[in-house]
Amino acid sequence: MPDRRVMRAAGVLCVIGAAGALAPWLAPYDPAAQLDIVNLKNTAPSLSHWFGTDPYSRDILSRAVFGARTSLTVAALATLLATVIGCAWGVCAATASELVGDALMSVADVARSLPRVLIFLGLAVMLGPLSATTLALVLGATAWTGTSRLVYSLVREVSARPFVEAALSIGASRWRMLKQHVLPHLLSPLTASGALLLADILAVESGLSFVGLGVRPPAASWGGMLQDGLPYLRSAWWLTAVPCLLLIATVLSAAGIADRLDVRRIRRASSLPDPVPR
Amino acid sequence: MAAFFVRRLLHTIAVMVIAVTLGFSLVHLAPGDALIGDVTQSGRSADARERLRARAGLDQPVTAQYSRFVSNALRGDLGHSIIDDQPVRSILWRALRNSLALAGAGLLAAIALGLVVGSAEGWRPDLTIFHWLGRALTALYALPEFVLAITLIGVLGYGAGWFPVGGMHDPVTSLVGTTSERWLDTARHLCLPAMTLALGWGAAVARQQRVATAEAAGEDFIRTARAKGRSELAAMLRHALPTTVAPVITVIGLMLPAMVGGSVIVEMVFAWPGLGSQMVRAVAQRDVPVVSGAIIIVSLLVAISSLLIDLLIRVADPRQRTVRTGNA
Repeated sequence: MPDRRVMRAAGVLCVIGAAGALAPWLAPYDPAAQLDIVNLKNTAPSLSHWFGTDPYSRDILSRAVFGARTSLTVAALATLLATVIGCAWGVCAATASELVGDALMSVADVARSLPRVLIFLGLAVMLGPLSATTLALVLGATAWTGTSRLVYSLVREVSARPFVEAALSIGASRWRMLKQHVLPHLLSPLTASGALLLADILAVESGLSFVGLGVRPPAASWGGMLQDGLPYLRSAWWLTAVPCLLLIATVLSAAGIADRLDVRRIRRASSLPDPVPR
Repeated sequence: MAAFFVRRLLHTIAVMVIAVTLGFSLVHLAPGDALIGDVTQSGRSADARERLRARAGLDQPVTAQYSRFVSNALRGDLGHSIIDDQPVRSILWRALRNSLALAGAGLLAAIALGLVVGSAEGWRPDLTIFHWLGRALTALYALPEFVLAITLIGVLGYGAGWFPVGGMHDPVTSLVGTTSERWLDTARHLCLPAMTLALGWGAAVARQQRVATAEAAGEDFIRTARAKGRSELAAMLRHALPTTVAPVITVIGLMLPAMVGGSVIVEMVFAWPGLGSQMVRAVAQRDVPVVSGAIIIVSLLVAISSLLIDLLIRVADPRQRTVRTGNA
């Protein structure tokens, strides 16, 4: 049964995503072009510039759609990467021997307790501002630990259920057991955790771009637009309001989807019979 | 208990080793070396350069340089800043004090906020106002800190004009003000950044507190307390609240690494002269020793505090033998 709140949030994400995907056709101007630095600096929203222009006389609407493209691509790639790594790690740890599994999860715990922002600061001082691809790779490579923990505990929990035992007892291989009987149970929790991860990574990415450690300018990103607009918060509010609202809408939609899916999963799980075998 | 302690200690040591190695590789892999300024100065012979580098140990193999770096770091010597010509340690120490003041104020406010909202919501989930309050806080939790910061600057800073929007001191007050005036001035500057942190972190605390309070509210000992004729408030404060302390401390421990990221960005937005601003500035200036030292110090602080928090929970509450994992 489709949930109304989930559908609404997914709709918002789809619209923003489509705007990003169609950015080259939707944007009325070149997002990096400084149109007229003398007459078009920080102009208020008008018919020719719907969302106004920024301190470098660039069109904010164009930058906002191209920013959606950058921010969402980076976040989606990073989420995908983190989910894949986390899944593989968790499944390996849960199916390996006790000792190896323990060691693998300890590594994940250690990786988790190192503040992510420090790694970005270190990279930034070595490499300077990052390209979008590097940013996505590093974000993904540092965000997988939560997913690995989730997958680890889920796989162990499901593996203890009677139907897995039954499958093994009629001679199913370990791989078939995993693929046919365990992994399907991971799909819905992984969707929820993926949506939450997307919200989280979007927040981190825009934060990094905001302090100048993210996507290399003049490429448009929402965080970077906020950085450009902050000094003019008093005189030209539209510089910050537009990316701020877009960011709020996207992050809250993704987090809202995760929240609803999670609540529904917990409700459904609690109506199931006790999974613990004798 | 002993096994847990050993495990946890190994974990902390692993984090420290990674942090120190990361710090070392930054300094080592950065283009040039610590003596690049002296070495490339004109009029020095190649021979003099080599002797200079040998004197600083830069001609040694990597392993020797690493062990030297580690032993220096253990003694608190983190090298010299390239830009400021000061020991990294004293630069970071000044910044760290300011950071801890901000983060401490934010965390205290967050705990107060989270406990009040979470308890209210968990105790009376039927009241619409608590429900909406909780949802609003959850939304704040998902948002990036700087969006909240910008909103607060716009509304309470520029709009209402109640608080200063950046820095830590008013230049005039810090020159001619009395001691109490200066303290008051710093407290006023602290308000907006601490509020930003408190709203974000408070949401996480409130979420945990809500679940724990709702769980406790269904327990028999609450029914007993009511049957004895205790008031609702007393039942909640004296009987339900103590059982929620451990989960809340746990969630704070789990939040620590993410809290560093939040602090860095909030310090940047409000121009708070803390470790976060210092690190970002050092990155912009390519001041590698400062960045490396900051990475080592911050990861150390986080690792040690989460170790202490874990031990505190184990000591305080024997039921908490398994670690709860919150939402990442």
